[in-house]
Amino acid sequence: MFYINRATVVEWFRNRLPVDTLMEHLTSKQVPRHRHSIWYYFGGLTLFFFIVQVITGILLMFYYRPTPDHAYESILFIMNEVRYGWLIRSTHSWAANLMIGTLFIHLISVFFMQAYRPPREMMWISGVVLLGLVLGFGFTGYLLPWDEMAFYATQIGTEIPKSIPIVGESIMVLLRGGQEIGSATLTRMYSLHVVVLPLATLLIVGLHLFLNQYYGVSTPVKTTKRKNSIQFFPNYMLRDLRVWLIAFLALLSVAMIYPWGLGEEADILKPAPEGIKPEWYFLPLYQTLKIVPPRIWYFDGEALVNIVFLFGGILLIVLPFIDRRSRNKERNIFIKVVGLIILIYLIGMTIFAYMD
Amino acid sequence: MQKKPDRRTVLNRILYLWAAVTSVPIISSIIRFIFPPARAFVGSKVIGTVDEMQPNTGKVVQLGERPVIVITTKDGEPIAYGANCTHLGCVVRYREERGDIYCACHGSVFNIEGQPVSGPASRPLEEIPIKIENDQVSITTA
Ligand code: HEM
Ligand code: FES
Repeated sequence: MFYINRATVVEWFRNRLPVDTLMEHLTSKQVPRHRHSIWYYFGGLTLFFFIVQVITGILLMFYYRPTPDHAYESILFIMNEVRYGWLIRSTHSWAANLMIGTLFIHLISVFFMQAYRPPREMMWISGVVLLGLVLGFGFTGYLLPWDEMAFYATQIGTEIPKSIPIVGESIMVLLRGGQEIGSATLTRMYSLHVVVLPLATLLIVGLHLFLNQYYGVSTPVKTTKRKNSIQFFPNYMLRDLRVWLIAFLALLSVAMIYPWGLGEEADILKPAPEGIKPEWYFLPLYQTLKIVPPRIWYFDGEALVNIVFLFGGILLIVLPFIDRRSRNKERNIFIKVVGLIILIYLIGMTIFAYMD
Repeated sequence: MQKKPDRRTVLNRILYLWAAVTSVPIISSIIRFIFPPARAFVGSKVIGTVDEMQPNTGKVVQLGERPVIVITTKDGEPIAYGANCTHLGCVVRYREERGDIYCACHGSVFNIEGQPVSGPASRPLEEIPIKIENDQVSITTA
């Protein structure tokens, strides 16, 4: 008689999957503890929200239709007729915002702990690229419901690069799929949102996490470790999971208590309503563009703002190479102060935009 | 003295060269593909009869892909501008109370000639030719 017992099955898989090697790696890995440890939850939380986005996003795709004639209607259908459709949509929208929030906190904490110093430069760079991808998710997703706010935020957002000399106009046409916002814009944003950005993000997240496993967690410069570091598996992982669970419950609660709304359907012939604003994470750029004079000395004000923000992004990417002191494991007060000033500016502009 | 490469090496080199040469048109056609073909609308559109044009009103109509604002001044003269604000492109609105053109996005104001008077816009609205023939009012692409 043919007989399979549990031990044989386990043995079969053991011989074919490198489980033992993996377990050995995970259990031997130690995570240092120090007084800044709490910040390390935010990278994991960002990953958690991304997983939520993938799941809820795929569900939304079952009903969403990316054409100007049907987009708004299909969102109404999701919210009013599909069972729990409102909850799935509300969760997707809330998690998008929370994810951008945790990503900002993660990046800022890594910045101030100078964790980008060797050998983790590639982790920092891949992290900045992820920030770009996630902002791309936010921008492309925002148009999809095709309501007034979405329409005008995209109108303004795609017009912003136009002021950049030489290539500006082409960038705008590329983003819109034509001179004006229309069905070509919607299908473009949709394919970016559900195919291009997810694939790119998975790839870069993979690299980011691999490096994280490979190099382990850093300890900030001149911070004393506590004596008892903690074992990565299962202790540290369980701690992370506990925080994920809290985040999950919090996410579900806000998504249920404050269901995401929907404005009026976009109409290209209707004059813009008052109070058009992009999502909060684009407000610093938006507000700066709003207050900049049309001409600064010989230059176009808008173009100048664009170039400054672009330059800021490039500086962020190459930061590990600029900060020479961090390479020698020294604190770099200068870079921290500059970072702090930029941070205060961004937060200040966001508050200003809300009050305006 | 250099050794003559064997046949395998030569064939490999030809293959790499071939791949490199074909990749150029492939990449360039993908780039061209994502830039949409320019399909600018050329033509005109009847927007109503002369009697329908009430003095001191404005409405937005579509000409090809773009919105155009048609205004009848207080003196009853019809004029038309591209309705996208020259700041960042929101659709503008005619304000009867003040007889000017206003963009709600960042508050640009244009006078009835389409010139910017306040707010962040610095360029005038694009004028759209308007004509009256046999009582019919129509707008055309410039
Ligand atoms: C694989 C991943 C994803 C898929 C398949 C997906 C799919 C979708 C779909 C079909 C919609 C349209 C339905 C709707 O508007 O409610 C949507 C909307 C949206 N998505 Fe995603 N998404 C994904 C990831 C993300 C991520 C990572 C973010 C954010 C950082 C994001 C942000 C948004 C936003 C802000 C909206 C508009 C929500 C609204 O107002 O309804 N998405 N997404
Ligand atoms: S788009 Fe009209 S004022 Fe900015």
